[in-house]
Amino acid sequence: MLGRVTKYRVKNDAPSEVFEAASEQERKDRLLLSYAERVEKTLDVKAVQSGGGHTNELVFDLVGVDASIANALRRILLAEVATVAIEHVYMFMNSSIIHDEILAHRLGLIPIMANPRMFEFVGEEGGEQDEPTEFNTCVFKLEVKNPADPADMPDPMPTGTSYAAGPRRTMNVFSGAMEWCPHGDQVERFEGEGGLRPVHDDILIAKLRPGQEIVAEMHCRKGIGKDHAKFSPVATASYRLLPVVTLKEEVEGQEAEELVAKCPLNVFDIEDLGGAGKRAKVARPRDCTMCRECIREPGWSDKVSLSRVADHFIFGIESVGMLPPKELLKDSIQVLRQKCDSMIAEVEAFESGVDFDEAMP
Amino acid sequence: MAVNEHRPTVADIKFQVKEGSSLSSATFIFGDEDHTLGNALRHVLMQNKEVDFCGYSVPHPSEPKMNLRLQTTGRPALELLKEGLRDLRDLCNILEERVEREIPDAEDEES
Repeated sequence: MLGRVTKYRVKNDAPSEVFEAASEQERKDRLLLSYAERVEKTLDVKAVQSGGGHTNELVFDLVGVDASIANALRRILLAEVATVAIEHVYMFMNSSIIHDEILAHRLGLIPIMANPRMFEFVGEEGGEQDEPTEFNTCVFKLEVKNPADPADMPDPMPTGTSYAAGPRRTMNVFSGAMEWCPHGDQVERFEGEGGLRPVHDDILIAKLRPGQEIVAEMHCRKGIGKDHAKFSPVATASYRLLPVVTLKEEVEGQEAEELVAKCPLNVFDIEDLGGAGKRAKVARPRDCTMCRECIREPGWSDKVSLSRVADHFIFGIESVGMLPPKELLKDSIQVLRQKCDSMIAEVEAFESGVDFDEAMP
Repeated sequence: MAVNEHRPTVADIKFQVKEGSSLSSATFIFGDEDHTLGNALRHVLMQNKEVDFCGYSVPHPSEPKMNLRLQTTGRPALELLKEGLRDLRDLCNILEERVEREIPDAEDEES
């Protein structure tokens, strides 16, 4: 690989930098290339088989970029990729123990399974486009009642409700009780996705005693996590550097056993050398969390070295569920590019508006 | 009732050159931007060998502003800023293409 900064070694207590510099020739060659060409050469993306195999989780390797780029993607995923969430709650009836404002807040945090690309942003308050339409708003209603007389309870119980354990006939209201009220041509538009619904049906919203009732209408709109965390499309998005664990000398016999036992994340394995005994080997360096337990005891830091690759990020995205993580990643790249594009346009507008030479004293 | 009455403040000017800047060393003020673009752009600009110095700051977290200081070895700073933005855009394009190629779709993963 062409001239990469590769090693960031963790020394005794504080990390200090040790760069394995590229050769002089490589560095010279590199300077002749344009930025894009250099990125072409160094950048690498690899999907990593994630342990859970859950479709809402994605772990991949991002190699050959600076931390600032990885961090930009992470920040955008958390705060700037748009999703749809409940924004207005119209409470017609609420005799439950949960206060209106708390209930509204709880409802707001429920993830809504709606493709944000199918929605427009609602314009600013008081602006021309702040009217809710079928293109920027979707409506859910919640109508649940725990009848005072248990005989009035329909059988089976309404969707998304159940009795809590015990003899008291307290009713659980889950997010599954929210019902989508399509407007305009929304039925046809969202047919392919099986309509709009909460991502999870089993989120407990409230509990109702006999005689209590909730009737509310919820209006959802598109927004970004910067505005409110409920719009954030990810549970987490994070990255860490690839650990490099190496044995500086052969660790054999009793010591090998000790080393394997030391590591809380089971990074090391024992190799059976047939008749010649046992030898430790680094089997799963990726699992290492740099806890330094293996080099804590005197003498071990001469045997084991812990370091990280400075430009190899193990990037993890956990989607909330409305979009698969790969789409979120693509969206975040698009948001970053959009930032560049709009800034280029602003700079050009500035240039044509002001004569830079004259404006400067 | 609205679940969320608070709205983030929006900058009135998206792009501006701070007074006191000269042709080859200038401070740019970006409205509605933060560390996300600031740090990435700073890094990209520093890769350019015509850039003498580049640094960014967010003067106050509650103001939607980001300052970027750019000193060049001679060419107008504004020109290099545009180049930097284009470089970052190129990086996004390359990254997107790699992601599209290397990361399997959710459906593939299930099977």
